[in-house]
Amino acid sequence: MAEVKLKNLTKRFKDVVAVDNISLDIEDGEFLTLVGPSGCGKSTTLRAVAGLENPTAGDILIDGQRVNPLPPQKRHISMVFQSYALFPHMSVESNLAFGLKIRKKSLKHKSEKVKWAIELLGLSGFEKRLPKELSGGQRQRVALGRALVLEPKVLLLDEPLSNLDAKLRLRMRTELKRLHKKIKTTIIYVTHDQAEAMTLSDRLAVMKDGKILQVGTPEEIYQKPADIFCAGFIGSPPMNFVSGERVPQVEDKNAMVGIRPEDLSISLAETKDGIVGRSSVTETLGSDNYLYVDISDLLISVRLKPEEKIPEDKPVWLVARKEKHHLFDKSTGRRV
Amino acid sequence: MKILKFVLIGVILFFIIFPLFMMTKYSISDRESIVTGGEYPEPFFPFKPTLEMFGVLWSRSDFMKAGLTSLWVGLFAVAFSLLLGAPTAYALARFRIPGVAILLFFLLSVRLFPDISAVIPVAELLLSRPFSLLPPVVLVGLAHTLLALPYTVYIAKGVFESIPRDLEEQAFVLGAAKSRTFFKILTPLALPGLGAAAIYTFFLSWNEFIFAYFLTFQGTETTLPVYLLRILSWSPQKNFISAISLLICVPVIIFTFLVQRYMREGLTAGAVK
Amino acid sequence: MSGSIKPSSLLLKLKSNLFTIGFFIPAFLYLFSFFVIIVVFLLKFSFSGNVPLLHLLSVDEFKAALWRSFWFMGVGTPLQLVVGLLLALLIQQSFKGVGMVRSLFMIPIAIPALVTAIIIDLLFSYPLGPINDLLLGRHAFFPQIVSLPVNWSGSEFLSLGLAILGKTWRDMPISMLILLAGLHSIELEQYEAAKTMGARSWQQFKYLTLPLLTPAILTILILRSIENWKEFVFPFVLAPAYPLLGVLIERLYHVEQNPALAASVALGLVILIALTTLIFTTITKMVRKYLVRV
Repeated sequence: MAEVKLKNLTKRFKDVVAVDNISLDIEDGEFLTLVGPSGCGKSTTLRAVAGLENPTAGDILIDGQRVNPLPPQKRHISMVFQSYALFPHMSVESNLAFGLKIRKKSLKHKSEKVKWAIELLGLSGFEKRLPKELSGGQRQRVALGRALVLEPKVLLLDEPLSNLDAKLRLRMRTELKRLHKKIKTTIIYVTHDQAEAMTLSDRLAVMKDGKILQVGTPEEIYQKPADIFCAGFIGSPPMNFVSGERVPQVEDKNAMVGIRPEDLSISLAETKDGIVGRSSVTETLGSDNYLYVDISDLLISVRLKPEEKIPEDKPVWLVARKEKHHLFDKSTGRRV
Repeated sequence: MKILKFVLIGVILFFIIFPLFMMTKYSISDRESIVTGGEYPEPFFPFKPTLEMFGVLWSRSDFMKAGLTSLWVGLFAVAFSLLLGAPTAYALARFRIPGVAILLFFLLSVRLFPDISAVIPVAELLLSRPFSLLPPVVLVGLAHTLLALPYTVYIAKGVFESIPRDLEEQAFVLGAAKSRTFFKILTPLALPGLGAAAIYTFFLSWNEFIFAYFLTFQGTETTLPVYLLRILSWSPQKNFISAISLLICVPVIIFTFLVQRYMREGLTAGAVK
Repeated sequence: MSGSIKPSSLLLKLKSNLFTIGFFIPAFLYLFSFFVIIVVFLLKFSFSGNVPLLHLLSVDEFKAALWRSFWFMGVGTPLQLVVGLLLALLIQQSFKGVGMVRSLFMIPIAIPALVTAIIIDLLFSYPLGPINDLLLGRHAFFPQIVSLPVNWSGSEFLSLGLAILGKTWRDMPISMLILLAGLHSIELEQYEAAKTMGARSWQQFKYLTLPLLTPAILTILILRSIENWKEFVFPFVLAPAYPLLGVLIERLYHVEQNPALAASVALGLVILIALTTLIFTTITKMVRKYLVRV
């Protein structure tokens, strides 16, 4: 277990700046997620920590030790890849033991660790199988086990769930969270899926264009997004954005106002300070229903109460409590 | 490590280029650069480079005739194997044919025989009546069709498989007959891919030696490779042999480069579908 | 399928099947009739008169050719595998100009085998030729190795060696491409995973590249051994005095005018190839099984 520090880390590929001068402190035993759209530099950051990419500038410290010059195997890290990268010609057992074999661990240590991983991940009975004879979820667990048997100080996970189908992904999410509770290793997790990031992490770092926009607990980022991008990226359906001049309660007419769908209340009668619009389609998701409201050129999503029913194509008034408004500077995108 | 790699690449490239360089060198050599009488080593570049040999070849009727024969045999093989192979490929790509695995085996089985074994029966057959009455160009063309046809079917099958079925179904819904769909809709779309098969067939025929050699063993009309072998028996000078060799190789080398790119484009276009 | 078919739909079905058959038949018939002709002719000749096929092993020419072909196959196959592997490994990783190098590596396959053989014949000509010039130390940059010019085509060892050299030179792109496809089927992430687990370059080669390449290697061994058994052009041009099986067939047919014996040797060659393929396939299966156990 260890803490990880990134200091002014930059990675440039020819003319492209993949990671742009980021600094981040990850605490011992923390589950930290780098989340952002594809191409935001999150995978590159992770690969730099793993030692698969050489940073152009800046330092990576694991447990206070600068690891920049060290090859991957000397950094006490393990990595799980998006494709799992299981060795197709080796059985589950051999895959699990591979890293230990390379490290010339004793036979006893090897078989103990493999047995431990098999039990931990519920793979008993599959020891002799080849990767191609396993289901997606099982492969995923082997990849995880292969990383864990090396007892890494830091576990690096690069979109490990994105190759699974939706249902399995939800289950593995829970399993992963439980696993982290049990082994308490520092985990750096990379995903583009904001829901995954929200449910799994102790803290998350939202990245865009090689920069970290905000670091915080899921609640902090959800409730106090530092940036218009974070506000729109985290939460589903995404936050609604309306220009300040259209919201009567807002004094700063130059700000962009962000309101989450669940913070809006809707009425068929004219409401004080309400924004008028026209009701459009309702999306029924079972527990939650979302109504879409046309306000001139914008489509605003509103979460309805379970019993609430709004007919289509009627004038409606939307209002949100003032403390639920998120105000952002129109030019910089930062929270004001 | 990296340096070693590039040194090795350099050495291999040298071994690939060297024989071809020597062939080219010989073909433009003057007499003194070849006939040394053992008094001095052959130079690695001719003393007085000359294109004389190509002029000699241009005016030789037997060489020009062999060139034309090669061309016609190749075109015959292309036309015949496409004519036979494209419909078969289409049938294999589109229709469920019972026992298709066995049929495919027979389709390819002819190529399981070594050429040098298969050529004896083929020569016995084609060199006896009534086939022997056909001109040699046709006989060799028939043999080369035999060699190229399995590949043509294979390539064309892939081409037809890459054309979305929807197109045909759309044509069918619009009321077009199957044959019309094949010739008016599929064939134009498949043309670039079939072009690759045609080029492949042509150069298979252009390079082929064994069947052409056996089938034209006695006649005067023959293809370029066989012509090259025949003139060896007169012990001609190196520049003469090399000039012919070069002229045989140049079109193939050029087309290999062209087709490489062409096929890569074809493959990626197929992947998008 | 519905139980009752209306007559009109039956007709339609037949019509559409006729179309399929009509499309399928021409090429099939062409290839199939040649197949039948080849089989029938080879068998007819081999079992005609005193059944030459059964006497093959008492023909000295055949025994000598069989022995030479065996060596040609036994030396050529591994050599071509190693050369192909070397080429594939060199261009496996992409670098600036890798496309160009790959294209250049492809050139030999574009050169007709006969032309390749003839160029080699010119290079190794006796007594005066560029290679002999080199070995005699007639160029300032190369040390003298022999004192008399080497008569390449006069020696069984050297002339067959040249034939193997020519065959290897011309066919190296084929092995290279198969191995390259095998190498590219190993994902980059698998190497990276091995790297994060501490495997060094040679360990990656030993534990990943080699075992994952085994299917491609076995494919090459099978294809190359067939190809070497049936080789004709290179030994025909470079070692006419020491015929392999293929060259013997040509000689029996053209020079000795003995189609029956030629066909028998041809059939013998087919049988040999079938046996070799069978043996290699069995080995392949065993090796695969062994690999699964690893």
